[in-house]
Amino acid sequence: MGGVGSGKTTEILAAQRGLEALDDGFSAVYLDVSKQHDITKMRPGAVIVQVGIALAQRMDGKLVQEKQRLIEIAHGYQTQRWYEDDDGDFESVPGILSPPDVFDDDVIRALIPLRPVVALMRETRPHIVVLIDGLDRMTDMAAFDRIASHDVKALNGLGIGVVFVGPLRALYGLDRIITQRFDTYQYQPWIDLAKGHSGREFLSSVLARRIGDDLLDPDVRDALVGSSGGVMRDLLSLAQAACVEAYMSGADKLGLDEATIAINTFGRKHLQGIRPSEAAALKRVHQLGDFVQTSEEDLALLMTRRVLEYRDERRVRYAVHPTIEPLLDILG
Amino acid sequence: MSALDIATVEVPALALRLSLLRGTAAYVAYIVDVDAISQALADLRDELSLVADLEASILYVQDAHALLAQLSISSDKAVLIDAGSFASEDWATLDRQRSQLAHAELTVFVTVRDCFAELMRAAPNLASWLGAQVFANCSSGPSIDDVRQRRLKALRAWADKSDQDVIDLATRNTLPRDPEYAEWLVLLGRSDLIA
Repeated sequence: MGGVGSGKTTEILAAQRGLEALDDGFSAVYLDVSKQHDITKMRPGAVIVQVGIALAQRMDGKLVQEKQRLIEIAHGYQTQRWYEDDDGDFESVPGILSPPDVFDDDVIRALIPLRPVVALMRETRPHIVVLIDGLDRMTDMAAFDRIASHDVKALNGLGIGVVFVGPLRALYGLDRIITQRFDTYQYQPWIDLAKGHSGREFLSSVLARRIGDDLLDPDVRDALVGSSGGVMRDLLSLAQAACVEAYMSGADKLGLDEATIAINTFGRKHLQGIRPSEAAALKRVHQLGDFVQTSEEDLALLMTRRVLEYRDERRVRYAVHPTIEPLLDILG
Repeated sequence: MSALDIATVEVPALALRLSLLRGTAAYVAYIVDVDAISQALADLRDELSLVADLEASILYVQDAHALLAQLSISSDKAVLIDAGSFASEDWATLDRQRSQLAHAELTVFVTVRDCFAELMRAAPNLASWLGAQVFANCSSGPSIDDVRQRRLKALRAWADKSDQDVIDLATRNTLPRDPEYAEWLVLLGRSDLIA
């Protein structure tokens, strides 16, 4: 789990590549469940059936019947009921990937054709891990909990390892109990630039690989790194914007002037739509480092990265996004 | 006009900026007045063709679902979207289904101030992808120079000093180490005096 732009998808894809490279015994399958399905309608069975289809697609034309069955379960099918004195009536069975009537039965239905798919895969690759992206976009925590307690449990029962990218809100309030359904969870943090030099050096090196020293002085690089708040995506956005400003101003290299404009523009965008109560919360975080998530509005400040949370084993620290700091005095 | 308004960029200058981002799959937002959306879309398409030789499609859609349906058939052109009527739920839908927003060329949301405020609230991931590529037209916000002057005014009030005071202190190498002074010198175009 982690905030917006923290690199969750990048990490999970790196994990997939790492697992595939371990030895021939591993098969790591990446799957974004939000691509084929509206996750506001997530239900038990929805993940399993997509995992099944993804695994079956690797079977090179084998287990066609099982794959077809999974597709039918996913998207619905027609079945015929036979009566004693009748030719039979067709009835439509809705798919899992659409609003359900029953939850648990759908998990069972998807498991039946999935088992031979898994068994065949294991003949050549005994260790199967699925890395599931997209569920971090769920806002219904009760639905996320059902996925965790049905689909994940069922997949584990087949001996399949499961790695989820989960929603950030699962770390706060009463929803924190959901994390207990997993053997472990990894929080993808922002890089705390106030904690030693390694974070700054890492982000500086990332920037240096993209913009050489002949185009970017160290003090400008420091300004961009500092203004990113340790958020990789924001660092790259700021650098890109600064480059555009340099071109527009006819500069030979990216200077502090261009970086300042990019930082200011970013900060102004970041504060659009801010409400007075949120502005007050931001000022409190800036002045006191004090932030307690007691409401959806507080959580929204974290989700939108107006407030950044830095975590390590020992403590949690809060700060407003650096691009916002100079603008706080202007807020009402 | 709010002191936190997005900086102003006219359509030709916006097109020039976008030409630097072509092929990067960048996301951009352009905030205009409600009765200027159609003209802004048409002008931007024409300017992109002129300055960047970049073909763009204009998508007039009522909501997020219609947008996602049209995007899937928009091939590799830049996409200019009339997002002037998008509500909070539309932005939330795009945020959830952002994998389907993926597009090889530029994606530009032309919208109005209130709609953009809703985007910032309801679509944190999409807002993150926008980065600093958010601009407004003349009647909706200050120019970049206005932004610079407003910040200088705030700094003068904060320090109770004039621009010349700061330059003199920096020249004598006696300027306080507060980062605000470094920013002040940059805004005055005197970053050469930063120690």
